[in-house]
Amino acid sequence: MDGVHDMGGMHGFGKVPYEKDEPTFHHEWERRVWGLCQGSTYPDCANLDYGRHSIELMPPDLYLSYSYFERWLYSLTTTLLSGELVTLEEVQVLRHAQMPQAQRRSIPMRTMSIVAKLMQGRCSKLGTA
Amino acid sequence: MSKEHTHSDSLQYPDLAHLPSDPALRMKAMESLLVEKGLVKPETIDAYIEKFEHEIGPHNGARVVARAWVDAAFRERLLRNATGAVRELGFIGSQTTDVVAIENTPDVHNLVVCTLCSCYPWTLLGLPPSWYKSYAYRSRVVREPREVLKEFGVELGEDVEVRVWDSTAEVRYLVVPERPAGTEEMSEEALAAVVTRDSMIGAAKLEV
Repeated sequence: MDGVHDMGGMHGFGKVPYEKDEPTFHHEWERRVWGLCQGSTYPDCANLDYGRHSIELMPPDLYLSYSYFERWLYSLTTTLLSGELVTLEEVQVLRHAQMPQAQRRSIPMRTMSIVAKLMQGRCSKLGTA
Repeated sequence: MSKEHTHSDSLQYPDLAHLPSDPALRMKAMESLLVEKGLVKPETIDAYIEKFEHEIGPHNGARVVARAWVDAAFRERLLRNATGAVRELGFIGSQTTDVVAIENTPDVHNLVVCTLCSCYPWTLLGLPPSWYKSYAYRSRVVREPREVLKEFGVELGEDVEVRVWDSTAEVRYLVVPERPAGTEEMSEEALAAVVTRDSMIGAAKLEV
């Protein structure tokens, strides 16, 4: 299919971001996305070509604004949706997702209580809490 | 509308626009959902990461190249049927079911790309570096390979032919770089240590 993914010969993307001896992953979440995509159960119809196709079907603005592993996560999501292994409702609930516990715990209680008060309109700035 | 078309459209339109904008959060949420639904186990994810970050990598491809440098019969088999030749060294697996090896010479420099996505011989080279997957590399390297190579620090004479190989859905390319001068006395194992990932993509030349 013709699409923005068919990039050979296009202009305007600038210099290649060459990095000598770069690591396999640059962020922990990239590492997890990749592992998740490898380890997940898939619908029977989903093979390598199917996964590639699901990325190619991304709306072009999303394709260009997402980083590589974000596209993989998108592909995983749409593939599982199309195979009805997850539902749209379940995925949409993810918009309310919170940062994982470990990271929430790292926020000092005092900060949390200040933020809570701020949100309730009980003080106007951090210093007055 | 054909069934196939309907199927494609159903993939295209899920409303995912309101997912968290932070990819780390999006990943965590998706992982939690899939674990909860029994579609994946966290330890399975860990195992894949461990394997591809530590076990599978360019040192595999480097063994193939070093063997080709020291063993003329293996080199011939590799250039004729790379899939079979790498299998001799035990390399069978992800994205290595149809391998083509191409040899750099003083007259020809080969360079590999996947303009459509990120196809790459995982079993031999591990996962591709970010620059290989970048829009700039994918778009430019088929149009101005000499310029891109120059940016990578590879200067080629005008008399050197540049061949760019665009990976297909199935075929994975492995560049056999030129054996550097001064390595005549080195063992196969020592030679393998000289071979870099980038040289097996064609993005670097080797020196010792």
